[in-house]
Amino acid sequence: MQRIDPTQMPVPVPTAASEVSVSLWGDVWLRLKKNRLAIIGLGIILILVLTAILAPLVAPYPPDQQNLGISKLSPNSKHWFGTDVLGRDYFSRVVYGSRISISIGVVAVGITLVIGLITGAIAGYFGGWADAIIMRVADIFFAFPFIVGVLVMITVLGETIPRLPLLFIAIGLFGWASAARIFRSSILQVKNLEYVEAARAMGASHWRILTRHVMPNSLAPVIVFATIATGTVILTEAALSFLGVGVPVGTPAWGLMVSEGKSHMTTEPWLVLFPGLSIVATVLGFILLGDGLRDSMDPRLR
Amino acid sequence: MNSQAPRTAVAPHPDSVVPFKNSETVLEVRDLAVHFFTDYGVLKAVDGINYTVNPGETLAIVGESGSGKSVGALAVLGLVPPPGKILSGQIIFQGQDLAQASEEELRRVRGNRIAMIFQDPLTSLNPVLSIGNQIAEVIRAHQGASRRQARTRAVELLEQVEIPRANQRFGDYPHQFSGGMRQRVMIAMAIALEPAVLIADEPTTALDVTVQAQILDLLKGLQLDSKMGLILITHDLGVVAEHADTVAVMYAGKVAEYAEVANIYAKPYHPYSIGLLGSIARLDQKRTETLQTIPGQPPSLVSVPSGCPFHPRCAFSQDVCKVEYPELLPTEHSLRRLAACHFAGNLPAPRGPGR
Repeated sequence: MQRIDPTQMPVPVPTAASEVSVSLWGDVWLRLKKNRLAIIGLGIILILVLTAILAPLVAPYPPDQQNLGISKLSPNSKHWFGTDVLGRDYFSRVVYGSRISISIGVVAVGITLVIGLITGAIAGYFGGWADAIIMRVADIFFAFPFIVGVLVMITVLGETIPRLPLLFIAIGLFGWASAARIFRSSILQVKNLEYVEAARAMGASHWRILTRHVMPNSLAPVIVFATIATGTVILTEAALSFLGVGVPVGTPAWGLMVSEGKSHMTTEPWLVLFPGLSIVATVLGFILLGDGLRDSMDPRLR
Repeated sequence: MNSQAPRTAVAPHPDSVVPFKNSETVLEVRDLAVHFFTDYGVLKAVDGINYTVNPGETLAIVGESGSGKSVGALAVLGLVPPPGKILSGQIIFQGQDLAQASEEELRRVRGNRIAMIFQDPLTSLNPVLSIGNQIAEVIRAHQGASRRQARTRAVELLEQVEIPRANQRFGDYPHQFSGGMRQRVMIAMAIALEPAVLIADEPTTALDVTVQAQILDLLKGLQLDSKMGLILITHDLGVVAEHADTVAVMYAGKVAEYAEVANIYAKPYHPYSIGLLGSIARLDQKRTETLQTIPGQPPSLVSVPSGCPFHPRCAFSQDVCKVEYPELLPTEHSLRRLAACHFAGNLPAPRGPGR
């Protein structure tokens, strides 16, 4: 008779997905995958980002190549989106326009997040007078209408700072208050949880508690905010460009293209339609993804 | 018959004679008072408590919710949450008074020389860090060990607390563990730096009974190996009987009785201890018997009754109990048998019906 040595027994290998070592973010992805709208949003964003990065490969013509002989062509097989007043290939311009939108979205929201996360973390974690000062300053920024604040800043500093960096700074600066508020309230919740107390009882320093325990667990609402804010910021840039205080005239930017095309809307509607649709699709993509992220990060579903 | 005279006043013991103190004592809490300055008034959570922790021994702190047992332990680590404050007293740990220590000095003691495990293992671990990294982090924070050293040590610790396949489970996250397993992880973290004292705040309250026994046995085994002193905060008198060496019974922020376990179970002196022990369900009890209870409610710590805080609920209370607080004093002339009752060892006849 054969004797069984327990040390030689095969260890059962876990197979079910839930048994596999998944991090919290892995969990979020599993839930997000099931949300069709969020995946559509993610798809739009991915296409947009790839287009922006690979613009020279995607665009069939240089965006600034003028040919007055083919002015205002309607969409055809050579010029998919037609041409504009100066005979530039409109598809190429829309493709390059994604670069402006994406860079505005990434950089302005990046600035918003850096300022918002630092101030929100300090206010929420340490409380007291630091909290009072930071949140009153945030209130002042809140009281200022966003678009008016940005307009004023661009008008005042427009001569001294190049337009695109100025747009980044202006939009980033007027958005931080929301990020700070959201992060602060999230930190207020987390910092009183038991594992934070436990970390303190284990002798962790304030820095370590804040960066390893409190902040990572407070990020979820901020990520949702940032995703939706990216859409909003892209919309703001488009609005500013439409109003003529955005990127310099001649730049391929969607807002500017809508503005330049509006006088031809009745005769050459594609000049408004294509950049307009691009803006709508982009903003929608970020909002759909943000919504999906919020659902899949909701701790009540966890 | 209410003719018994209160115990004759004994002069408070001299400073050098502290209950249960010996040459090895690691932690001594003396006359510690922690008050919370709330909007409703001063809440006296801990009001002059004394206890001693010796290496390899377990001190159980027993009491109802709100008797100050947890706050007293948090004070040892300097973790009293605002608006609480250590008002007076000393916390002498290895010759250093922690009540006077700076935040930085306290931080170096926490987790390193005095560690703590909490009641609910489900909420005491950070959900976004793997359990291995959480243990390794404690080691790195205090000893500046390299990432790889910390990892090796963390796996050793997981094995020590009997987590199967410790090496594979290093990277797993808290939600992949059961309650008992998470408490084992907490214990691994707490003993990572071989602390001299471990404070366990109701370590098994959130676990089911079979797991409770496993966890307590684990703690006992670790204690035997390391000579660690253990403060076991609990309201489970069964756990106390089985695992503690000495017991401090707390009532309304004060120690009501302080003695060796066997003695207090054999013959409780304080009427509150008598009531607590009387209210345990026993297997040899007839099924028709109802469980005994202690009448009344624990007092609000904002307005503690005058005199002996237990007097409104005490079947034996006399006039003196309403006006004069009975100090925690030796009975039987022994520094290992203390009670805070005017009539310790000499209780008058109970009054009122039902008792």
